[in-house]
Amino acid sequence: MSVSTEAAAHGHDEHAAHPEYMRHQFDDMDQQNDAASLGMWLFLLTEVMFFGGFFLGYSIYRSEYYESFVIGSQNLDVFLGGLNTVALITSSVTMAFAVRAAQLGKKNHVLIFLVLTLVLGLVFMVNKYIEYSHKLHDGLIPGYNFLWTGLGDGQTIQLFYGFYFCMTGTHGLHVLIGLVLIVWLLIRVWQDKFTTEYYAPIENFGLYWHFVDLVWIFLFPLLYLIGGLAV
Amino acid sequence: MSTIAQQGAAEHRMPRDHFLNAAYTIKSWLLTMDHKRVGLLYLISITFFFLIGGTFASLIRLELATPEADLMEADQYNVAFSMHGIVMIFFFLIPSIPAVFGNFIMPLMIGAKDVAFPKLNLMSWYLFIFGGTFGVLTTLLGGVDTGWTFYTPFSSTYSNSNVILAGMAAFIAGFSSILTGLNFMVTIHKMRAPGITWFKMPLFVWGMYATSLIMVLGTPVIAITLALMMVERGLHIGIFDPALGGDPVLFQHLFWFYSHPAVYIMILPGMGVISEVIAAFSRKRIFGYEFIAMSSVSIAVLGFFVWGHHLFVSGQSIYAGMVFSFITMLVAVPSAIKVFNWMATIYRGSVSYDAPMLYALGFIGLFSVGGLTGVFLAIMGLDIHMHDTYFVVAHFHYVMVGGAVTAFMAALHFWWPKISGRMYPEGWSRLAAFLIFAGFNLTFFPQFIVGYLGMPRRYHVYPEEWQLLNIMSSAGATILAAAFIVPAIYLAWSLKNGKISGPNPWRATGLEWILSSPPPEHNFPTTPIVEEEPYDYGEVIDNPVHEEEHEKEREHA
Amino acid sequence: MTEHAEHDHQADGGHHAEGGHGDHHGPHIATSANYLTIFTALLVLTALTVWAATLEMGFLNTPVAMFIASVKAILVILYFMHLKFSPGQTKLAAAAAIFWLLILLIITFFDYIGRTWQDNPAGW
Repeated sequence: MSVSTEAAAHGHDEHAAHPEYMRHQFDDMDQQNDAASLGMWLFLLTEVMFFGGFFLGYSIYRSEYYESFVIGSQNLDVFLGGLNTVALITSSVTMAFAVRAAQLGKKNHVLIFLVLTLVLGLVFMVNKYIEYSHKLHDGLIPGYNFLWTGLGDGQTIQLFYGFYFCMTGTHGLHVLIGLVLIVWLLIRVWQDKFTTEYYAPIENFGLYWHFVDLVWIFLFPLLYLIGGLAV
Repeated sequence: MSTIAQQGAAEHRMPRDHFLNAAYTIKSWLLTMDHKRVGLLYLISITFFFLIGGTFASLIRLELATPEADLMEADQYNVAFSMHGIVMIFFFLIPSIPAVFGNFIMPLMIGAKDVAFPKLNLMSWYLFIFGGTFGVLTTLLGGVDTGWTFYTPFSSTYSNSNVILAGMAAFIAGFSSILTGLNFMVTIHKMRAPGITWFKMPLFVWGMYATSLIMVLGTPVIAITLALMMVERGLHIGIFDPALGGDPVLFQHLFWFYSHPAVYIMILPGMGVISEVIAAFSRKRIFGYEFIAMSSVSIAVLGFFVWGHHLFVSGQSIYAGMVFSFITMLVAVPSAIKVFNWMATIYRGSVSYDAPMLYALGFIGLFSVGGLTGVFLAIMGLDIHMHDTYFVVAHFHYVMVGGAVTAFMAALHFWWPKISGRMYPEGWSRLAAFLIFAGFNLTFFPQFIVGYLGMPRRYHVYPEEWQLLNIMSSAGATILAAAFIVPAIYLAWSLKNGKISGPNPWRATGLEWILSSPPPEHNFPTTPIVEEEPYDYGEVIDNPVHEEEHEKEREHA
Repeated sequence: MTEHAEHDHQADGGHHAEGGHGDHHGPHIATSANYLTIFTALLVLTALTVWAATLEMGFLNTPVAMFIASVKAILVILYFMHLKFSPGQTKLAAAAAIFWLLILLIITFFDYIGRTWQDNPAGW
């Protein structure tokens, strides 16, 4: 096998010129950025499949026990759910603006938009906390203490709440992880770790955050709006 | 029989600096960012789990030597086969070739400095060990008795064993697998050296790509399935419990959506290894390169459409069963394409029978038997008779041990000189290959017969008329166990005393062979530029003078 | 895709010295107006989905809600996540996610629907 060993353009001797944020295994920043972006998309792909299991189980039981799912759903607070939808969508757009500011190298704008995203994420979590504590108060946490006094089949209504808590809980966990990551990003931005050439962590976190928003876009109608709203 | 190892007369010296002597501290191993060292960490870990799984296998065969329950009671036997399955599948077979040789060899093959995300790579190993700790803990606390499939509602409601611990073990090991797959996909996409286009990649890399595809797409589903099973066990919401409105068949759908493709996680890397070995020891360009490469990808994709053949007798609709049955038989097509192409590569090659080639030849035969009996089982009518009998057990052991483990041994013997810089003793290695082949067949062929006669799996007692076949099987298992100890001894021995192999003892093509053995800490001083086709063995036979020039060139490099 | 990979490792020295991000996929920087338009569309669609839920559409309620959610999702993916301006392999990854999710959902549902045919052969 004849392999030319002549130095490719980005050979060893260039090593000294590499900026600190460039990892040793890459030849140049384009390769590093492309790899990071592809890696993030593949990670989101695994997330889609992860939530896919929930969506499958949810859909099967929803078609089987439609009546119970309607009753369970109408017991949820559409106002809080809708408010959360708006909060997440808004946080998604502020995140997009944060990435844009990073592309343009405007540090202060990045900080402002990241803080806005953080605040909106917190709003989401606070709302979720209010909703969860109402359910706890009403005895609607699935498990041994589940208590259904209204009309309908308590057992399959519990199934609805089982999926409600599994799905929103997993989603909420993703939001929470996102919030921690925003704080980490804020520190890194503050320390001037990013440049217009190297802002991949902000961009890829943006992808994650938009994905979290996407999941909620589907969760909202699926959980809160089954069987129509009584006006 | 002539072997390549005998022909290499030149004396070689160990390279002065290589990745093994770059640093000796424990920290330099446990915090390593070097894909080669991570590969070796995996090699050590999966060997440990292979021992645990093998111990449970020995217990099973010991119990089944007699028709009565003399060694174990039913409950203990349930634990033995469950732990055997869980440990072997999640902690040996799935990480085996990808995590060890995928990590060690694949970046070398494509001329990369490392995998795309070295930290993530190390983290995968830590996740694997974390999951493995749960696995060991499960074993120490008395095991789990659900079978490796964790079928509900037994696992979620009735079992009294450590279901949640075992579930956590598989759940965490799953994330290790996801991250490895993700890392490999990005590496193969973005880290190839100039000139290595998609259709110039070695076939092992294609195998790793197809495997990673399954790891990335399938594993998250098993994670969520096990999580739901554990939630159900903890809270009894009724997700999978028919008494509470749930559907146990849904669990089986979710479980096999991953776990059937997982079979291809185990076999596809093996097929990649065999493609490398067959070409190297036939001294011929591989026949039908594009077909072998594409059949790997099509097996990976088709593998996602066939999971329902595990549910033929579970209450799945007949119409779904018919579709699944048909698509399952289709998987035989790309598998057969591979086998024919390997045969065509060997045909009129100048074949030498070194240990890796012996394993590769064994693989072709055993995998064919395993694959073809799979077609039997894909037929719905026949499956009703064979379902949950030893026929199924024999079938999947032919694929997983005869296929995946044999390929693992082939890979180990093929790349051992590259990893350690030394050769193992030839005679012993060939003897071990024969013993494994013989022991394996004696263990599992009788199981086809006893299964066809109707012996169900997962029972510790059986009618007396099946004892002869079971004794044959247990005797074979004894030979197999002994045969696995032989390589362990001579490979360990070779680390100090083996003949120094030189960079390319097999005179094989491929970027990994132009590096010194063991490879240097930083793979390639300069990014290599590849102009040749892969498996360019043609000129080697035709023009021995040219070959010598090559040898010089290599030494220069 | 092959060519793409080669391009990434392009071995001509001048490529980087000359112009930082060369001809191939420099970062796409969207305009603020673009983001605000998408944002408005998402808010309108959210309102629309709540309003649609108040209508009596029988079995159509769910498909309508899912359709609106999908439109929102596509807007987010194409514009906020820049998929529209991403290299082919990224699009492939996104397509694969949707494709495999559909395999999981559709084939499993096929079993559940098939079971009702079995109970009622006349319906087949």
